[in-house]
Amino acid sequence: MKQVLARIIDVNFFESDYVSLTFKSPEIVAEAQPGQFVNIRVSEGPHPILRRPISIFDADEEAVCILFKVVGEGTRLLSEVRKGDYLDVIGPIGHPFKIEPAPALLVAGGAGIAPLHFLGRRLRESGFDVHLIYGVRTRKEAVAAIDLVRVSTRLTIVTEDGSLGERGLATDFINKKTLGDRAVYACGPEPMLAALQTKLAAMGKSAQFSLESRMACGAGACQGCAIATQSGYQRVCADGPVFDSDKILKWSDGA
Amino acid sequence: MADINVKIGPLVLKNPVTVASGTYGYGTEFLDFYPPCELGAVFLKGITLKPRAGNKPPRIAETPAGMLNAIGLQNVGLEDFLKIKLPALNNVPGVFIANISGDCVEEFVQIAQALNDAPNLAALEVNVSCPNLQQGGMAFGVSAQATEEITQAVRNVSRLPVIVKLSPNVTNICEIARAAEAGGADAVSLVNTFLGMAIDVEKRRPMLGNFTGGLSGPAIRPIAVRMVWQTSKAVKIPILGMGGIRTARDAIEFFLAGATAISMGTAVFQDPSAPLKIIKGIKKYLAAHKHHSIYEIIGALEA
Ligand SMILES: Cc1cc2nc3c(=O)[nH]c(=O)nc-3n(C[C@H](O)[C@H](O)[C@H](O)COP(=O)(O)OP(=O)(O)OC[C@H]3O[C@@H](n4cnc5c(N)ncnc54)[C@H](O)[C@@H]3O)c2cc1C
Ligand SMILES: Cc1cc2nc3c(=O)[nH]c(=O)nc-3n(C[C@H](O)[C@H](O)[C@H](O)COP(=O)(O)O)c2cc1C
Ligand code: FES
Repeated sequence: MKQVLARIIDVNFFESDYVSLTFKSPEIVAEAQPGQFVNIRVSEGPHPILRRPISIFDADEEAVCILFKVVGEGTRLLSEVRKGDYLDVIGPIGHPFKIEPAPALLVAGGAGIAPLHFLGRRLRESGFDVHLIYGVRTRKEAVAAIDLVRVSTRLTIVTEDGSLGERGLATDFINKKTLGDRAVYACGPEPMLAALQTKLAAMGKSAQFSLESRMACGAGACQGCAIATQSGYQRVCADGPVFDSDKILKWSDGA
Repeated sequence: MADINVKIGPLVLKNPVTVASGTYGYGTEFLDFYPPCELGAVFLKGITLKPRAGNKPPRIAETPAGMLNAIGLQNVGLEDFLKIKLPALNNVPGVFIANISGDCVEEFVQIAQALNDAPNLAALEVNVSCPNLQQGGMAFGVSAQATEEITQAVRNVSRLPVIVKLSPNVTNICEIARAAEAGGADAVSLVNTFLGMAIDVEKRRPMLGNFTGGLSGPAIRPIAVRMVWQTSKAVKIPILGMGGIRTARDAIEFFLAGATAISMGTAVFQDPSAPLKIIKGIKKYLAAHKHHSIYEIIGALEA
């Protein structure tokens, strides 16, 4: 984990309030693995005081790319940075996905695509077959991840309104056939993960979930990001963010 | 260059900038950033006799220029603290201070006794903000009598300097500070967090799983400065001031109000390197005002 002042080299805006930022940080790239995240300072002043955790969407030789949705003040401030600005970034943080030597099924919901994009790339580079199921609300939201074909062998886009690809929820497309003997990796909103957890359990399977939680330190020090697991409360930032789906006990939103 | 070492009772700190209990873990979590020996001292996460699971999530809510936390004192307990957490600091140079909590006086005493043998502790901080289960669950720290009793009990058994951490959720902070002094405290630290609450108006639910939590960060700074100033008039023992300190300017406010050293918590989340920047900033301020020692600004508020 490093704290760096990283120069922004690219900014892109997409529909549905998605923004991607690319910043130069060979230090972070050197350690970055899929499933890990960075913790970004969003204001110089006293508010908002907490950093914002954002997954690593992609990394090349020297730059890290993140993709986030503007949902509140912190992400709005983050969307105001411009090419050439410097960003105070801590990372990479957390336990990454464990790469299983098997074909993969990636299940993404909304902004949950971020860590799975990076994972898909690494899996493909290692020669594994990757089926990505990507659930979003509407066609507009899927635009942010236009290059997903590059990180998957097969792509199923699912929209809630049927405006693109299949109609429904990502989890509707989890069945014996899509599952096969694939290793499952997922990230998305809690209701999606909760549904997926139930569905997989019924089929005697488990998956690796990348979870979110409100964070304060993002360094394992404050116990603020706890989630309930079979081994008691665990820290999403330091013990996760990747957890085995069958270890997760309760969802914070009561889903 | 001005001298910035300070004395907290018998304990000498090489600089007056410390990190607050509960925000810096067990001392090893921030090692990637800089060695903790660059800080005046590190206050370790609060511990209790038995391990605590902590509160139901969510435990964090951000608020204007601050945050609420309801961690519920999740900690490894005395035994693992001695067996695992403290030994992990054996090869880490730095001044480490344990922060202790309990449900009753006897628990504070047991922990204090057990920590006498810990080689790498420089002092004990006694957190009296926790609920007194034998007295209906009200915090020890709201009663002058209970504060004095705990302080005295810990003082009697501990070989270490004793710092009593005061709760700000009281009507008269001076009365409580005097009780700690009367009980034999080497210093008092203040403030702990203010009891607060935040509500998600769409869901109509509390933001915290525990409903209420402790408010920290810049939002509480003016109240903390006021309490440090009042306390400095009430007691002779040194004061460790904290509450929303983010910059050297903020820290100097506390020195002028009467604090001998300061602590940073929430601001370290925003910038783990902030304490080092503050040390530099304090030196710069002392130089600019032609002071030879930090003591020249401690309590130097002009009327
Ligand atoms: C490990 C991790 C990785 C993440 N990766 C991404 C990513 O790649 N792309 C992305 O768009 N978002 C990601 N998030 C979520 C992102 O951190 C939050 O959207 C952001 O912190 C919201 O800040 P804000 O100030 O804009 O919104 P706020 O005003 O703070 O909150 C707006 C809404 O988002 C909820 N929220 C706030 N913080 C979090 C959080 N940490 N986790 C879940 N919900 C939250 C609030 O309850 C509220 O409903 C990640 C979160 C974690 C913990
Ligand atoms: C997440 C968190 C955990 C804390 N845990 C403890 C604790 O275990 N013991 C204690 O005495 N104070 C604890 N505190 C209080 C801080 O040590 C400090 O008194 C308070 O946060 C005010 O300082 P600040 O505004 O700089 O954060 C905690 C504060 C936070 C934010
Ligand atoms: S955010 Fe502090 S322990 Fe995870």
